[in-house]
Amino acid sequence: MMAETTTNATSPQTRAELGANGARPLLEMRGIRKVFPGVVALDDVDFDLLPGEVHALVGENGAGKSTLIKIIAGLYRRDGGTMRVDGEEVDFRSPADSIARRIKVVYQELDLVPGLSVAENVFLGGYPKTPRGLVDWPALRQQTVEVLSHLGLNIDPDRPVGELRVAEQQLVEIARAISRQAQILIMDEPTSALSPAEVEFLFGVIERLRQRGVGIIYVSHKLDEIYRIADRVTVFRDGKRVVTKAIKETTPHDLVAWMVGRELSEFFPKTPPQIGRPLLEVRNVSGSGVHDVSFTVHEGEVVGVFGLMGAGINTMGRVLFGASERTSGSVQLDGVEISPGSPADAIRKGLGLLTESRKDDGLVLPLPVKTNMTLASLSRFADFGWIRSRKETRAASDYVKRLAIKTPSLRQPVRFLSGGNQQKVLMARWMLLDLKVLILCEPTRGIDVGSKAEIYRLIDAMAHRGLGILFMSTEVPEILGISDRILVMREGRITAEFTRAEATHERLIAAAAVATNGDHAAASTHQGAASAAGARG
Amino acid sequence: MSAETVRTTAEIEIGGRRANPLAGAARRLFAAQEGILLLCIVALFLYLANRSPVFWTERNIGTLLTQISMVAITAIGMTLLIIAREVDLSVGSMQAFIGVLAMQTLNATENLFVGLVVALLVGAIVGLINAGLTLGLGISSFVVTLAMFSIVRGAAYTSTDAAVQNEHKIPAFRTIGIGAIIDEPVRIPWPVIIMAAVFIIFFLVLRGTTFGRYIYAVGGNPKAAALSGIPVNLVKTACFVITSMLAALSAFILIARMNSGQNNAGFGFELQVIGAVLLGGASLAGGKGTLIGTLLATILLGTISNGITLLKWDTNWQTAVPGIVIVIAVFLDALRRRVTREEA
Repeated sequence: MMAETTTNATSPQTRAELGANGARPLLEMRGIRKVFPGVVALDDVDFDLLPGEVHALVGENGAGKSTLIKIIAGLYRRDGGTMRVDGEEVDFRSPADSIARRIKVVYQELDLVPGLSVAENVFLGGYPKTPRGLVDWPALRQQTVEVLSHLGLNIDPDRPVGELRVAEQQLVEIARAISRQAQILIMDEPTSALSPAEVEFLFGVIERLRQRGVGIIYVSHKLDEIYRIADRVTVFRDGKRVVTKAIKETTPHDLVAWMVGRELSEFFPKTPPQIGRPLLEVRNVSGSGVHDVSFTVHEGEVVGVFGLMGAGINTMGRVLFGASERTSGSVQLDGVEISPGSPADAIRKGLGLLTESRKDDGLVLPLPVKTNMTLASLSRFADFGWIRSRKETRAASDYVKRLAIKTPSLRQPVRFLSGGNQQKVLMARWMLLDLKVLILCEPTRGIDVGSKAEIYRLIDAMAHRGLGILFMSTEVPEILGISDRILVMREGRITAEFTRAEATHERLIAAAAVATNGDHAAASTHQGAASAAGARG
Repeated sequence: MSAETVRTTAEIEIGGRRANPLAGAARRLFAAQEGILLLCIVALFLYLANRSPVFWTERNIGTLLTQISMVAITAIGMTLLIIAREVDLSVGSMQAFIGVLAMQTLNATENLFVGLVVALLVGAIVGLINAGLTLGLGISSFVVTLAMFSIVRGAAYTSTDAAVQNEHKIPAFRTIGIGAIIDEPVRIPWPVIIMAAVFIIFFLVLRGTTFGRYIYAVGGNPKAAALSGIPVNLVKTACFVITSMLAALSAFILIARMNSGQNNAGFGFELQVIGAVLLGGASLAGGKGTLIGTLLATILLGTISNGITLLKWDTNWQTAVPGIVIVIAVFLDALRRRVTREEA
């Protein structure tokens, strides 16, 4: 694709053009490399940031954006390459080193102290002092009011931060950056929790900062936002920088193409389905975050459920399985009603759920691979509660081989495995049971490309053996790649259904995207398409 | 055990690489808390046998084991509970309350069996209350059992003003406390054999049953356990009840040894028990711990206490030394984890 032709371009003319006002880059990174066990997270990456510039970072999940930010923030140490701030070579060993260089990161999870006042938070760690060494409260208030007014903010400096809305808290974080005279501000998905009006206000604040010469690195997968505020954009894919360009020289279509890049067809080993009788019948189900959903999954069928973040796809999986509250409707598995609110009942009747957060509610991290595999099926290996150890071990080691799980032994605590292998352990947990339907919530989230392909292969193989699969994902390519039928969700409701033949990228996005304000349909679809391709950060 | 051989074959199958089995065994021994404890016990035994002619005698070892039996029995239950990510601070107060109650029952009924059943039943009820408040109201078990710690102690004081003396003269009663099951070739006191039986039962439960496995899963990640269909609250409730019933059994042995039920018994007992469990390698974060570790830790702490008496050191140290040992043990554990690069 066009990616290849532009890969080498830091685009000299672009840099010359932007640097024409004689500004030296605030931040220059050359040949940055970061390796984690088994993964090259960043490979020979160049990046720079000019004063008064908004530089957008885009890329799919795992492309390397957050690794780069963490290196700049001093949370990770790079394994190779050079980094200069204000022309001086730096080597950050801790976040404190980064802060000392006047770099401020505003994360999605804000790090404010909820019990302290706005003023105390803004100047946290550097309060003005009286000659006797005590905190100079009047000065603290005064300076806070000054900082807030710079941002055009009208927040009472004495209010506890915990009482503020998320948008206001975020602005307090930015105020904190200003109080420290930050020259580099990094914002990670800053608008994910904001209303449209709050987004407008935030953009106003960003504009003021830009005029003060602050350099801003803006991470987002909402391409419409990037086109509104960014000067330049850098696209990451698989740990490499694909391109850096002035935003004016690109189109949303280019950005998506650069982000996705790879040839996807060979990635999905889809074989023709043999669809049988209905297995999972969902009728008018409502519950926490899910409204009146109805659909059917058949024997041997892979039903993909697509939705953007927050659309409720994973919540629906939990409601059907009984892990979240179901207030009305019926869920039948092979003609048998599944009781709401009881995962144990669902499992007994042949329904499994692989959640989207494997470390949080999937794996028991300190326990061995074997134990994690047989957790849901243990009673099958036991007589009257006594575990037949030999039988259990044989079954577990069989799956280690079948799924090619890389582990030194069955006794290895599962926390030491890579993300992809951990996910395969969880797949094995459900494959050890004779399920009728398996719900998979974002099973490829945060795992490497090779393991992704293996997970797709497993899903295909399970469907071939007659299992019904409900496959939740926020990533369009994999939904298109492995589903026989596709449901689209928005705000907890099913908004569209497509056959494999009907489904296209644009159609899925159009059905999934939230209808925004007055934008005309074509533009919003286009930008929606772009933002969804990068959905997940 | 058979489990051990199975594991070894599995390792060979999967790992494909086979080190010198002896070196492997040694490495595994010291990669675990149990190895360090065993080493400490051997060193301490050698030291004490060298310093005191009395230490390595049948009589003293018998006394030592009898003295640790009550802490050990309760610590066995506490190990299960701590692996399940809960804790019970009320076991010390139960030594007093259940002891008083059991002795009053014995005096009233003159029936050993009834007395024991009442003790165990009251223990089970306390355990159910602890479980109900913790799981039903979602309060941490630390807080719930801290409250029970004082409530149960208060109940002990309320039920009697002074120690309840033995007025029933059931001959078998004293035997439980100070008698021996056999005298030849070595004298094995009853408390020791009870401790051994409880240990073996729960060792098998923890290692070999689905319930035992579920305890680790529930403590290691309750959310994952629930989503795998494990009845989390039932497993935790069982652990609370087992702990309290074993505490009641300890209380019964205690009154049989002292020949009276005292309302001030068991002060600091809960700390000895929890200290032994943690020294044995369990973690309050749950999902981790073994009964062998707990037993070795109990023996180590008991031997230190015994040694202080034999060497005629200031016995006030008997209160302080176990604390110091626990700090050292936790430090060594942290060091070991850093070497083996295991997370906390």
